[in-house]
Amino acid sequence: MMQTMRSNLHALFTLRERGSGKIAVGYAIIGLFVFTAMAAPWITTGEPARQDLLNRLAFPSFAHPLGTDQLGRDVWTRLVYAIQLDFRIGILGMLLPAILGSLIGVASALSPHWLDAAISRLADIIISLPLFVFFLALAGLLGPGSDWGPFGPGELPILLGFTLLGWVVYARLLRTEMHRILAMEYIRAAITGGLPLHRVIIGHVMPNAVGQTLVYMCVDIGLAILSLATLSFLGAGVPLDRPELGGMISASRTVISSNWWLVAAPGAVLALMGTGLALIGDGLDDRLKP
Amino acid sequence: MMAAQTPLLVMDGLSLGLGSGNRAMIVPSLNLTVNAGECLGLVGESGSGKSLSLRAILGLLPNSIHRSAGRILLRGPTGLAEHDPASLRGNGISMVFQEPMSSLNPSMRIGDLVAAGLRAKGMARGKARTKAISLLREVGFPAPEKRLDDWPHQLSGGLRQRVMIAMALSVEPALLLCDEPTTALDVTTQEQILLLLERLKKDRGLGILFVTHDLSVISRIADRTAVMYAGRLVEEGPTAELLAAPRHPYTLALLSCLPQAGTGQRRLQAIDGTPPAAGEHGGGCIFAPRCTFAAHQCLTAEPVLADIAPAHRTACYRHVLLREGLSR
Repeated sequence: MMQTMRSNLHALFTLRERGSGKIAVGYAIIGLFVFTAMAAPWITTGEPARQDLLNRLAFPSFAHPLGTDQLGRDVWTRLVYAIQLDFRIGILGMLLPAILGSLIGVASALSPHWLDAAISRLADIIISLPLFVFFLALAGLLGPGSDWGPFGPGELPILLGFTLLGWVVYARLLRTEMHRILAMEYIRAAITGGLPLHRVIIGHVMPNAVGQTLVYMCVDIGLAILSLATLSFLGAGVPLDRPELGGMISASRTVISSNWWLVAAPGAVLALMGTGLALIGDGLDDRLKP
Repeated sequence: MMAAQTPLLVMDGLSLGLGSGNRAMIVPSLNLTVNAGECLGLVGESGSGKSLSLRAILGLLPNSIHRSAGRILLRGPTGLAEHDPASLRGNGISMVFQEPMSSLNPSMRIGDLVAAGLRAKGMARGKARTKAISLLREVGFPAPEKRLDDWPHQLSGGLRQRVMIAMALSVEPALLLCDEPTTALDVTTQEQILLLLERLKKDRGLGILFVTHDLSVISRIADRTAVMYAGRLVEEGPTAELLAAPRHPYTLALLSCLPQAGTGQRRLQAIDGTPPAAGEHGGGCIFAPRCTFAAHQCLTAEPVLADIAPAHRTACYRHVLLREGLSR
């Protein structure tokens, strides 16, 4: 396990091999956003909710680099805090399904045929659910709510939905990869060598099976962010008073003719984030390919 | 190498069949003995059941194939006894596989690969590493201490097979099972690996069961040779004698299929017909439909292995014919 973790990490941090260009550009984009999100208190007013009702829909100025919205809130500040929120949900919305799905995938690959088949049929059913209808129902059922422990208003139903639906892809990916690796001669060699089963799985199967999962994890952060933005745009995501990219686009679309940058800025951020993450995933795929 | 006649492995009536029951027997009943310090070559064409019989020893049969009868005895401290196949893995028996490309885990360094079996037995990391170096040196791996951290893809096919053999030796086996270990290598590398196996056989008194379809490899390494056809042992004897004067028509046919240099022969020989599918056998000799020597008797009753010379057995009614006019 350690060796491959090392070599996979190595693959993430070197620039000399295949796919290095894509990975470098992806890192540059994502690094910029991560830096912006972390530096939020120092590069913005620090108060995304502060209203200045006398100064509504202001044009960009030194005090308000991206102008203000209908309630006179500083759009630059809101944008930076929205990046923070979207990244957090994006990473959690990738990580939770990835963990659950990978565990299910491994269990499925190793379990007797009937259980494996049952898990696969359950996955079929979940894949056939219309994603956004499911989310709207879930949001309606749980309500936006208030804070749940470390999660802000509206975050828990979304993460729950991502996890309930998102595990399927990870489970299938890992199950298939496990089957491929289990059929390899070196696994038979490891068994022949007298290694106990858990050592074969952890030491020989898993390290060779996780490559595609890592690639998909990168892309999936982008997908989670896009889903969050879409849900917020539709009103089923985080409450509209919280700064969120999709919510900002939704709130500003009525003034698109006069203050178009209120829609363009969060839209551009969304597109760039998705591109950056997809580039990293794609470059990683190039590199991990045999 | 007929001196040390301690049987190491004895297959006694081993039967392998497809699915449950006796619907399709792939190997109806196999009797084989491998002695200590001896290499037994097991030859046969694809699908003759030679690899399956090998895998049955360690309980590595595919899910669709079951062992329905027979015993596999292995010499332990208390003499020959039956063992749970899984308990033999990494413990008395090791195996070398055909494809050195796919039988080494691509995500482990070769030092860790060789040490894996030792580590599984609880050996300390540093000690296992030192042992890995000496094993790699024993199998003729150049400068092993410098290359322990190489990845398998950095090695040539021959070096990979040496790593594979070092892994096999790490658990101090008494018996080495070789599943066509030289098939994927070019001829010069093949020769080096055969020399290595021969040396290990002598130095360690290792018993080797060597499965292949390559008669030239057999003639190089095997002390005794057993020929399989459609799951049955048809002839068994000292390699030199068996290849020089085959006493079963199938062995003779296999030999005449070998290309010969310098004879101006244009086309390669082939045996007419195809081997029977598993379970498709009406009685009589299994080879009779393809046999140029077949007589009426061959179609009615199945011949059994019978001694025809010291340590030489054949399952053929007509073996006298082969001795008289047709042996080379």
